[in-house]
Amino acid sequence: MDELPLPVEEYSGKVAEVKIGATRNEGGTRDFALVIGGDRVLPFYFFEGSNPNPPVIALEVYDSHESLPRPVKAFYSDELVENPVEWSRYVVEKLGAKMLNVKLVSVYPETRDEEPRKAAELVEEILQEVKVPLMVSGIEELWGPREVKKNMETLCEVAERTSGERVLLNPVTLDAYETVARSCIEHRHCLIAKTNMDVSQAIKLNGLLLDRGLTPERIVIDVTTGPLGYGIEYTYSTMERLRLRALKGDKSVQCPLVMFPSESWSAREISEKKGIDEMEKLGVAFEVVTAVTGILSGGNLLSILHPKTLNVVREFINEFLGQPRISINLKEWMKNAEW
Amino acid sequence: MVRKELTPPEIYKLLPKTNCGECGVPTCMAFAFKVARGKASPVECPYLSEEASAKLLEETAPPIAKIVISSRGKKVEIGGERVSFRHEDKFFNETALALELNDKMSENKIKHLLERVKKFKVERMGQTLRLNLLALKSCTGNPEIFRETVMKVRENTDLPLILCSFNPQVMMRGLEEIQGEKPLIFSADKRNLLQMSTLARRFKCPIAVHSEDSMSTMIQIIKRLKGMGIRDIVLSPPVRHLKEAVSNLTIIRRTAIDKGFNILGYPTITFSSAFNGIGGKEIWETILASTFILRYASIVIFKNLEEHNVLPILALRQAIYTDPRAPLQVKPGLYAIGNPGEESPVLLTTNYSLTYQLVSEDIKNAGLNCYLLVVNTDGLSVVCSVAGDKLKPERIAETIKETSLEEKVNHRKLVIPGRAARLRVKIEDETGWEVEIGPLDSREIKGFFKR
Ligand code: B12
Ligand code: SF4
Repeated sequence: MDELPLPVEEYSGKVAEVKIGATRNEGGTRDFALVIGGDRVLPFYFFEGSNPNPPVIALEVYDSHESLPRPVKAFYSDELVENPVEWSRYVVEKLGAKMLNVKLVSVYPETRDEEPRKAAELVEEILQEVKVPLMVSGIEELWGPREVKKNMETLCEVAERTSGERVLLNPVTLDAYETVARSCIEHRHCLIAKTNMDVSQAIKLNGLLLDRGLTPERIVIDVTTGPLGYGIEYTYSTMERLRLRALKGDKSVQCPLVMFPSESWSAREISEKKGIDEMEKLGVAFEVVTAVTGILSGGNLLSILHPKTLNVVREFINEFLGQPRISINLKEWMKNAEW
Repeated sequence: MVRKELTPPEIYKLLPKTNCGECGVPTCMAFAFKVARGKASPVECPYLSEEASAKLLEETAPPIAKIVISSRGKKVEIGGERVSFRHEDKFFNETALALELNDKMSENKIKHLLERVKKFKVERMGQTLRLNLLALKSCTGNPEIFRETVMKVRENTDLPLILCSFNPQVMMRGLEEIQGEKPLIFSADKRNLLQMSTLARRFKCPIAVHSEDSMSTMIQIIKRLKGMGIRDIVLSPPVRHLKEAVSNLTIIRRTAIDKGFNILGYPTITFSSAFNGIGGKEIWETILASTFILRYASIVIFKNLEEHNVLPILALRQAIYTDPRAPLQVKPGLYAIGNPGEESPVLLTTNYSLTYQLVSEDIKNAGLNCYLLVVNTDGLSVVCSVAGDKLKPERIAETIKETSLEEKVNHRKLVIPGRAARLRVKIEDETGWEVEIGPLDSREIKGFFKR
């Protein structure tokens, strides 16, 4: 009999492990820290080996709720989304979120244009109320110099006020990386290096950050998430290419990958739905499929908006960890006339 | 370690070298390039010697065999793949989606479902997304009932079929009913191998190979089939849970392509409806189907027609199977939306299918009669083409000329997307038209023209 030649590759490279959140022993105030990355093989290539850390999910909370999709608002209630601190507490205590992505959308120049100081104070408050590791997002749509500058100021303000907490600062881009990188090192945080869906740009930004003295243990790469139906194929392939490069030994990109399934909610198909139930079902399905795609292309950290997505994606990840709960049996299927 | 492939010069050596052009390209060399890239089959040259043809077919065949499943009116091609990662080349034949039916269903139920399948289509980015196959399974195990159900299905649809039963008697009845078609036989396994393979040969149909628990059993069965001269094979590897499914589907694809292990060089069939376990089933069908599509499945069977479960699968399949080097595009030019006249406004956008689709829908929803000038940006969206310098004012001027736009309207005013605002002056200089900056998002077009 021909032996089945398993398609095992010997990789020389390994993705760095990034630790998010500092516990009291480590100079912070978190109850625990989360480790992402450390990959030695492609995701779920069990015939090749296994990766040390399963993907982590961060649930999003916003400092300003105007742009939240209706089903998300409805899930939480109006009072809750109007109070980001309470909202954060709810998400951790009631929904069991292990990590938060606090989105400071109030600082966008085109909308509320709030002071970075005010936004950063909110982060401080949240840090006092919940003890899970945090990611903090400034301006993600960097259309022009105004946005770039405001984002930089916001992230630096947050870095300073949360010194030592090992917050994950998002996003740092080629337009303005130096100041944030310096602040990140000084205050012992980690950051998300964001470029647009292009391997060479990701390599470039990472190289620059490494040159400025950041270690791979403090960098998470974001290649920009095109969600399902809106460019997911570019994100998928860029993530795959970067991960393969890292495993094959390119030291400049050996960092974990982050992906934003929450972007899915901007799909037209969802907002065009009339009923809130229909909107929720379709939105959650889009977000789940984007997350699954992100995980299978190497995503180590996922930022998710709807709590129902969180639950399902968690279960999906668990299917690959311990005892699987789903069984597939074709003999039974053949007899099953249920529809 | 990649399978050695013939280079264009190697292929050229075997061609007639007369440059007669009957294959659709002007020279034999051009044809050799097409064959090498898998874009043409050697049989398209009518003057090829039989010997050369056999050699070429053998050596240029994709590492994952291409299999056809067909009815009298329709055919579905699966497999034919050459790479494991879509950044290396495109994936060629998209995953076929099959809706599951069974022989315990009433005639009415079948009719009703087939009616829904017929209506089920989604227009997205200039493509029509649909279901491709029907999987009819014998739950009763009764040959006569199965035959009748096949008949009923065939009366109501011309979609190609997958006939599902492990019982050769049942399978034979079904095959007889639609003799002349090429349904997929699902499935041979280690118990029924001899009888099922006889049916595959007699009815000249593709046949699936199922092994519940072992890849090596599956390999044994494949070898036996090949020994009998059967080439149209589809694989149903052990998939007892997600972890095993992901592993085995990946192993098949990568072993066949990267290790040149041609025993596994066949398309695969998967079942997103065949699971038990976690509650909230519907979303899990979507998850399983997505996972299978992302892990190379050539067929996914499911039993769900709810939009929120099926639309994400269709959108994912469309995305994964687009050519990574060429975004989906519409033809550049002038498009009339509604019923425009001489006074109607002229709006500008790019030729990325998604952009065109959204903008034209928004204009329709705004109830606006206008001309939409679609400029070639090699399929890039407005934002990307502006950032990447692909929305060229000179091209805009050319497009205005080529479409004789200046004869169609009596004004010279062009509304450009808000995201292209910084090109305003340049566009005005190139075209001689007055440029007005529209909103950032095309959804706001309605409000923009109201004021
Ligand atoms: C997918 C994607 C890509 C894909 C291409 C997809 C495609 N076919 O266009 C790829 C990976 C190839 C790509 C490449 C690039 N990209 Co890109 N890409 C994206 C992404 C994720 C989505 C873009 C998209 O499809 N939008 C949807 C379409 C429908 O939008 P649209 O065409 O602009 O249309 C909307 C509006 O403009 C308006 N509109 C359109 N027409 C009209 C007409 C009128 C009259 C009006 C009023 C309105 C209007 O309404 C539409 C929405 O309803 C965005 C990030 C994001 N989330 O937006 C980045 C993004 C647009 N890309 C960006 C960049 C910089 C690039 C590159 C230049 C990067 C590079 N150096 O390689 C290249 C450019 C191309 C090149 N040189 O080869 C930046 C732009 C930044 C900026 N400050 O402008 C973005 C924002 C990413 C980022 N955050 O940095 N990209
Ligand atoms: S049909 Fe054959 S002989 Fe004629 S140009 Fe094409 S490859 Fe050459």
